Amino acid sequence: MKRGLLLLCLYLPFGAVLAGDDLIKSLSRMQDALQNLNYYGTLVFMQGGDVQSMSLAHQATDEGEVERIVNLNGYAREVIRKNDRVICYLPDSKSVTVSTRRSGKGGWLSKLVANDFAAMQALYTFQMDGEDRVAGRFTRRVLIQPNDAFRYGYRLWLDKDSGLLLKSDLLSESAEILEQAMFAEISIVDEVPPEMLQPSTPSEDFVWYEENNEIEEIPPEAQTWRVMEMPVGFKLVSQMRHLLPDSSQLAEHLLITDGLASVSIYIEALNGEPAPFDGPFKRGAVNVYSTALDDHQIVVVGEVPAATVEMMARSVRRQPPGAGND
Amino acid sequence: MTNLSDEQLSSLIDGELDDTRQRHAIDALAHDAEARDRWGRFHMASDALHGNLPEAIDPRFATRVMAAIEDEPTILAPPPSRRPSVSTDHAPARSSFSKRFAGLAVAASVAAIAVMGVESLYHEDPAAPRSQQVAENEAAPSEYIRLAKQPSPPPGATLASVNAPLATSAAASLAARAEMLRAHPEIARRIDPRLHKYLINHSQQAGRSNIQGVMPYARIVTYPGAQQRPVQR
Repeated sequence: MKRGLLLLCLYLPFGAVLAGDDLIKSLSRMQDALQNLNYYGTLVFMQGGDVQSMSLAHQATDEGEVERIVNLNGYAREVIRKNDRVICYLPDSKSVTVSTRRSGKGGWLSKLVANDFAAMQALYTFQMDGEDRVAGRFTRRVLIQPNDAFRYGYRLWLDKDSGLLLKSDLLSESAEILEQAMFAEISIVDEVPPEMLQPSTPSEDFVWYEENNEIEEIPPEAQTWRVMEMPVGFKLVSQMRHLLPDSSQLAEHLLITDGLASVSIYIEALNGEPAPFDGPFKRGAVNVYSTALDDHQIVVVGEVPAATVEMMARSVRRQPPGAGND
Repeated sequence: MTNLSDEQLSSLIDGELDDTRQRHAIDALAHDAEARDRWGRFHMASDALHGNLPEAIDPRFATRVMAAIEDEPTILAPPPSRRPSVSTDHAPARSSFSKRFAGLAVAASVAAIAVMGVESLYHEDPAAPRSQQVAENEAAPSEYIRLAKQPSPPPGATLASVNAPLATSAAASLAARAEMLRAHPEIARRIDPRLHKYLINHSQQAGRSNIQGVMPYARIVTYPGAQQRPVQR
C-alpha cells in the first residue's frame, strides 16, 4: 500500500509532463505544417472593430519557403517572405522595405521542445481546449494563458487533419480578444499556382529600403544601451544596428522575447532635436512606449501589454561598454 | 444618422479619410455637438503629443474666428470649371481666384470647428476633472496651458491674421504632454503614423519567434494608411 502511494506520487508529475508532451506534439505538428505544407486561402483579420481580409499563399520549395500575404481591402499592401527575408510592398507610401527576421536561434518551438517546458510553464499555462470547426474543417483548440499581467494569451485552432493553424486569437491580460486571424477558406494543395506567390504591386517607381547589408550585430562587450528591468522570462536575443526607412542614421535595435511574445527597442540619436514621440501608444495587440534619454529617442514596440513596454522603456540606460556583463 | 466613431474621428484628424468620407465627417461634426467635443479632445491630445500646442490658447478664440467670418463679405464662388485645362486659355485667372476663395472658406470652417472643439475641452466637458477646465475669468489654474488674453481683432482683420495663433508651433512642455496623457489615456494611445516604420520593422524581424503564425504580417498589411484611397492602375 505504502509502496503504491509512493509510486503514485512518482507518477503524478510524470502524468503532467505527458499532457505537456501531447500539447507540444500538437504545436510541433502545427509548426511543421505551417512550414512544409502548400496551401492558399482567404484570411480574415479582426482588430478592434475593424475587419479586413487578405489572401495568403504558402509554398515549400527546394530552396525553402515562400509565403505571400496581400490585403484585399484598401491599398494592396503585401508581404512576401522567402525563408527569413521579408519584403513589404507598401503602395500607400510607394516604398518597399526588405528585412531579415531574426529572433535568436530556433524560434519559439525549439524553446518549447528543447528547453524545459517547465520553464515556459512558469510563464504560461498550456491546455487543450476542446474542439471546433473552422473553414469547414475540424480543429483542436489549444489555450495558452499568461501567468502574469506582462504578456498576452493565445487561443489556437489547429486542423485535425493537417495540423495547420486555422484560427488564432490574441487575448489581453483580462482575456478579451485583441486580435483574431482566421481562414475563411483554405486549400491544401500539392503546388500553389506560381502567380499567387509573385508580387502584384508594380514597384518600379518605389523607394526600396534594404537593411540586409547594413545590419551590424553588437557583441555583448560592446553594448552600451541596456534594459535594466524586464518582466520575468524576457531575455535579450539580439542587439544590432541598422538603418530604418526614412532615417539617415543607424538605429540601435534590441530584440527581446519570452519565448512566445517579442519586443523591439529602437534607440536613435536625436541630435539636439526634440523627441517626436512621448508616452504610450496602442494599436490592436501592439503597444508602444516612447521616451527620451541622453539626447536619444527610445521606442519600445511589442505585442505585449502596455505595462511591459513601459517598464522596459523607462528602464533603458546607457552605460560604458562592458559594464554590467556577467 | 451620422454618429461618428472614435476611429472615424481619429482618421479625420490624421488625414486618413478620402475626400468624400472627409466631407461627410465634417458635415456630421457640424451637426453633432457630442462628436465635436470628442473631436476637440482628440485634436488637443494629438497636438499635445506631437508637441504642436501653442504657448497660449485663448478660450475666446473660436468666438473671434466666428466674428471674423461674420464680418467677411459673403463670397459667391462660381462653380468650378469642368472644362479640360487645355481649353481654358482665358480662364485661369478666374478659376484660380475662385479656388482660392473656396479654399479659404473651407479653411475657415475647419478652423472654426477646430477651435470650437478645443474650447469645449475647457468649458463643456463635465466628465473632466475640474482642474482641466479653464473657466473664462479664472486665472490659469493648471500648469499645462498658459492663457494669454488677446485683444479682439481689429475690424476688418483677415482670417489669416486671426488664424495665426494656431500656427504657432511652440512645443508644449513635457509636463504638459504627460498631464494630457494622464488626463486622456484613451486618446493618447492611438498609434502615431510616424511610428509605423518601427511597427513594420518589428513585425518583419520578430516573425519567427511568434506563435501566431502570420499575424505579424497581417498587422503589416493592415496598419492604418493601408485602408484608404486605393489606387487603380
